[in-house]
Amino acid sequence: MTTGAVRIWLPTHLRRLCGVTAAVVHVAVARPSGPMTLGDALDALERAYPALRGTIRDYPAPGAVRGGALRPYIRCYAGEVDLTPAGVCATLPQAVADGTEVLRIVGAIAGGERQTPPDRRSAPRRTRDAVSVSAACSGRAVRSGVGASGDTRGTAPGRAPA
Amino acid sequence: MITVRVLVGTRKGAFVLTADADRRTWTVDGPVFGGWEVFHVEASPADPDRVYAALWTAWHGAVVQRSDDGGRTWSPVGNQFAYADGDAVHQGFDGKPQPWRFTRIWHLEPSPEDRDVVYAGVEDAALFRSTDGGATWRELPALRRHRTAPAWAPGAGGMGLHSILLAPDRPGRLHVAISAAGVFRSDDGGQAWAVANRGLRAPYLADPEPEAGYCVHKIAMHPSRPDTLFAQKHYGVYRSDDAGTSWTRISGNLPSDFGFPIAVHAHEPQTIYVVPMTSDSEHFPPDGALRVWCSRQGDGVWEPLDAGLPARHCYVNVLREAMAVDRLDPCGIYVGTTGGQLYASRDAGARWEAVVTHLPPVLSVEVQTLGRAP
Repeated sequence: MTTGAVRIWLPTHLRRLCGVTAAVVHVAVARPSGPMTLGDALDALERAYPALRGTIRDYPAPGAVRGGALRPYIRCYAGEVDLTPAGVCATLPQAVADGTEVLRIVGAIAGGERQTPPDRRSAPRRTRDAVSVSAACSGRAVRSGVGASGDTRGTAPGRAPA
Repeated sequence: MITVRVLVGTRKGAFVLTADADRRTWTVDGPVFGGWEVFHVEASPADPDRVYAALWTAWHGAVVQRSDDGGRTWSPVGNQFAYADGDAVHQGFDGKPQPWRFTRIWHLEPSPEDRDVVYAGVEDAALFRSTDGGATWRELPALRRHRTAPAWAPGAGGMGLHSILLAPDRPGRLHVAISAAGVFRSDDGGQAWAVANRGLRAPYLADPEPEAGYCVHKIAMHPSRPDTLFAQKHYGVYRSDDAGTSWTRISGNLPSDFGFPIAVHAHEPQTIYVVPMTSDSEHFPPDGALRVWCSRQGDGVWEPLDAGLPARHCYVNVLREAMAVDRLDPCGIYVGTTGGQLYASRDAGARWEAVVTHLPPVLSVEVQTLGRAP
């Protein structure tokens, strides 16, 4: 049995949804065997806060026991490690599994500050860049809690075909 | 004691505005759901304290919130909208087959009889129903199984089911409208559907009169005349007097036949209101002047109602859910703009005042008239 009290950082939208004011929530995660995964932590999070179901990952497919894939534009970080590419099967680092490090759930953003390679530091700095959150901006945007902005899919219900 | 409660959904949360019957002094509460796009907020006619709200963000998807105290406190309810058949397809923007995929809720329509029954119109266009106050949702799949459905295609804002009309005194009758498929009618509670598009025109299509494929922006009906429907379409305002079996164009002398919302006067079932925009590529009022236009007989004879509305340099839009009426006499009309203004008229449109001017872009406006009926 693997157990842990995982600390999870939630973006503002989800804090409002589950009625918490603190940025970090604590959830108890139990797993029968093997390393703890992102899916285990999300299972525990959704048990503690059922309102979050369907907002971080898709609902389970018919007949499936566990939740589905991470939603588009959702990224998950364990410290400096981007867990998103491996999805819900990503193994949590021990420091996250034991609650030392925080698991961060982040709405991907366009923009942020690109890290400038040392040999190009005299070049003009780009402050807006149409890329999703990646390792390049996780150090600032994720830690500082800059959750989300700049999405262009939110077309208004009054839009019509051109 | 009469209270008018205006439920406003915006791009960054919802607001609840209240006033007495005089409608001169307003209390503005909100935002609730700060940061969430609130596509629609609507109350149950069966229990005015029961209010439903449809929320969405691109990151976290759709959420339904419910209030049982008139919008003071809210709780999230069910947000699982599972399509009944996963392998069906419709057309994408490129004309290629696309699987149906739930994205968000465009419209909530509570039952007039039961506070726990509520319909949801969603994107991709489908009709869902809850009988437990929004906790669980079940699709009425016959609509998407209509023989025309594989050819339905989205409008620029997505393929959403945005209008749901429940006809009083016509048990089982439902009308829905879909961008960009058109109007559909059921007389058996959604078990079977018929196309209700004859007479509409879609000049932007190669075939301007297809069986389905019309970008109807909004349909409206007065409860005392459930067979008379009005539609604001991508091009044109239309009227039907046979429950959608056939339509007649009534754009008449409107400065533009493009717009989004359409509303019916609370006590005059043929008096209708629209807010024309310049064109489908210029979603702002003609001449930079915001005008609500009224047809007293719903017959194509229109007059502008603009006293108190911005007369110049106004380039806001009024979205499809953003106009509503109260039930007082004289009838109040409420218009929300993408500029964050909510304009109200206490005299059926003769004069307008800005109730609030700096909200986030307004996506929806609904009105409750509470207390003693006029």
